[in-house]
Amino acid sequence: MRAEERALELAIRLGAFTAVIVLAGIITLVLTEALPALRRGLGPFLDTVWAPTSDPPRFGLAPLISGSWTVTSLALVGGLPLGVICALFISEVAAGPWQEASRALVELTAAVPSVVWGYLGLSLIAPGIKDLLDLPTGLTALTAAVVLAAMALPTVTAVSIDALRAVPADLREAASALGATRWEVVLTVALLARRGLLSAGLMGTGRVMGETMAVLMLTGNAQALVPAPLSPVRTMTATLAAEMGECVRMSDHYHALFLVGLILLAITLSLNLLAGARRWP
Amino acid sequence: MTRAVVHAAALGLVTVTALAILAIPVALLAYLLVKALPALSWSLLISYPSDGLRGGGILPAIYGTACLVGLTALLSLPPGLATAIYLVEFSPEGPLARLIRAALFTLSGIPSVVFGLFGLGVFVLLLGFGSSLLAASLTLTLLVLPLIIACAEAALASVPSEWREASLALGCTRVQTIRHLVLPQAAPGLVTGTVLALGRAAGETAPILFTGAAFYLTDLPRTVNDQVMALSYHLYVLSTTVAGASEPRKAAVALCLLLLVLALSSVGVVLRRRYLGERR
Amino acid sequence: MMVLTVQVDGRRPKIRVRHLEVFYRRERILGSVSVDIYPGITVILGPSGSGKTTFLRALNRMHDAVVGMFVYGKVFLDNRDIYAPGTNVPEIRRRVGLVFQKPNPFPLSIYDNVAYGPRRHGTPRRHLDEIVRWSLEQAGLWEEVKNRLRAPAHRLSGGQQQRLCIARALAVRPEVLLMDEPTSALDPLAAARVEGLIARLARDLTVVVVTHDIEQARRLDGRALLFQGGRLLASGPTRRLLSSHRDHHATSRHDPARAT
Repeated sequence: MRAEERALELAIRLGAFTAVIVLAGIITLVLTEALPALRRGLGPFLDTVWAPTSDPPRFGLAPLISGSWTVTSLALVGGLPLGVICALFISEVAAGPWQEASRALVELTAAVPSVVWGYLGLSLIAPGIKDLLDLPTGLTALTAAVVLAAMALPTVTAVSIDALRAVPADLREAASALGATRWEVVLTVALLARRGLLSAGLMGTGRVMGETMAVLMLTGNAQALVPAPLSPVRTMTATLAAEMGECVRMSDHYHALFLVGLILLAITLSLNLLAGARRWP
Repeated sequence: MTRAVVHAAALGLVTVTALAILAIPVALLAYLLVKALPALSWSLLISYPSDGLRGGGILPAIYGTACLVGLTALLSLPPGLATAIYLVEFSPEGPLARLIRAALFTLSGIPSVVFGLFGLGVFVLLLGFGSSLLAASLTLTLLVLPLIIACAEAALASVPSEWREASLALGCTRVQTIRHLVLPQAAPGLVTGTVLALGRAAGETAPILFTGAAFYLTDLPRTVNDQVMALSYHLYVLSTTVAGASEPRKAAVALCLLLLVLALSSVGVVLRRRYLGERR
Repeated sequence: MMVLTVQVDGRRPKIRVRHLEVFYRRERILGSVSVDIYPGITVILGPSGSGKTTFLRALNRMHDAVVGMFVYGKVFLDNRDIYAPGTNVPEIRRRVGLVFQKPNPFPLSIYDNVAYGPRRHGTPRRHLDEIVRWSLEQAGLWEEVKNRLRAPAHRLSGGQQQRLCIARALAVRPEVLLMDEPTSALDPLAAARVEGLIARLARDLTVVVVTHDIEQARRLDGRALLFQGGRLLASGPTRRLLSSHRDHHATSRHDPARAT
């Protein structure tokens, strides 16, 4: 009896380590596979073109980082304000069952798979943008950004709602009592919750930066060194998804891709940490 | 314009905007339904693909997704449960618990494609499982682990401490208490967590891209070492690689995947509300 | 380590407490207490926050389960220190049972509540029915529930639930029963029933009851321990302790500056 008991306890303690081991494993793997790429120095990665399969191969990271940045910032321009507006509605305006229903809808939006968004982008948004703006192709940074904004919304909304709820109820009552209109109360609450809303933004940014399938399907996969919303771009995530399967294992290309993965990991982890640090001071 | 009117208009604008945003998932569903209508039929769900994925059905993809989801559930429960038990019953405030929580928070922020990289490097290559159902499921397990643990933790924590105390006072050990009192009580909450995690896993593509997803299989997978087709990956290849695939067909696959994921998520949300009390 | 025993009324102490001190983090909340507890009834009296419950729970090592609690000193159960390293703590808790202030039956049937302890300790299935019946009879609940043993325990009234908890505790055949204000959450009728039950149980067990109700202490008779401010002020036969305390109170009542 006691031996079985002790075995179970041990199993529990060991199993609890899983998350830590996995995290350590991921960071270790990405680091160890990325470092060989740097053995010839940073030089090749400061190139302006990413063309690992051309002859000679070119591993410029700038277009990829620029692509990720372009798509992300465009997505946030729409996604952030809309997410906060949605959160304001749910937290400050909606009442009782409407609140429940709204939160459920937000969660359902969050559950939509990335590849389904990608399909929506291809069948509806891309042709739309192409026709509306008279472009040679509908696969642009903007197209991806529109869809990514929709994908980031649930994250931004959920975190914002938490931030807004943290504002004590008496403050709202006090503001009303002082003669503020409903709208003014809402603005006041938003102002008081600005740190939390900033976290929401950071988390949304992290979400968008890490998005892969929708971006892969919608950005056209031609590179642009200079941010160009209306042209095709290449992001870090799309590059990984597109090339990892095909590249020769242990080749320069392979290690270069892991380097891309390392940078992506560093960026998303920093954003996550910043957001987390602000949320729980 | 008076202050009151302007402010009311502003509030109205916020409301309308928010309602439009909230309508998105509904609109998406409706859009897919309309577009997929010509291609919807029972044979789509139960027959094999033909004509280079352009015709026939999507049975292998549905079956593959079911296998992935099932195996992921199986693999993620032991470590997920062990972690949750440790965090709630053993040492809620210890230094190790803080480390574990920090690791979980960090993991939840890692892009899914990086999990795919890890899966490729470790499961496919290092451990030699090759591109397979096993490698893909293991990768998905790591991805959903933080979610499962969060739900399991909530489920365990919802069991009142008075019952634990009573059990200890009767001369039972901590493990006995967990096994015979806490776990049975927390079971519904654990199921909830699993269902939510499965909903997430079913929709993922990036983690299975290089770890086990297959473009076209003529047979259903027989062992965990076989590759699998999956709804998510199938939608991706239909939309991008397969030339001449019909729009209704693509929409049908998208609809199928979306309905599956939404069904799992809705069930999970309803269960969570019922068994875990507080939202999140 | 053998401790010299002092016999009272011809009985040996069941529990001997020596230099017991309890700390929560860095603050001492009880101690140092040295006292003997004899078979029969021992009542623990004192104002709120005087350390009664802390003392009670130290007798079966319930503080082990709370982070930040530190217990020093020795508690001898039949000449063996329960705080000695290597002690089988679950076994101690089986021998020294605890009934809580607020009834806390498990979310199971009446039968399964009582059978919980015996099942965990490996009692064969065929004996369970007997044990459940015996325990419920001892707790004075058998007649009321014998026809609905499979009903959920939470459907019972407060008083019945508390008696169920007592039955549950008795099912593992403890030698000592600790009770933390067992009637404070009950209505007067139910409380009286439980008091009668306690008196009956004290014939075979060592029963230690924490109460803030002086009249209840008087009714239960036996010995009393008086706590205040985390220290043991006095111990002895209940009647003697309460009358001398009353005299003490009587004099101080005329002097507002000496409020206790």
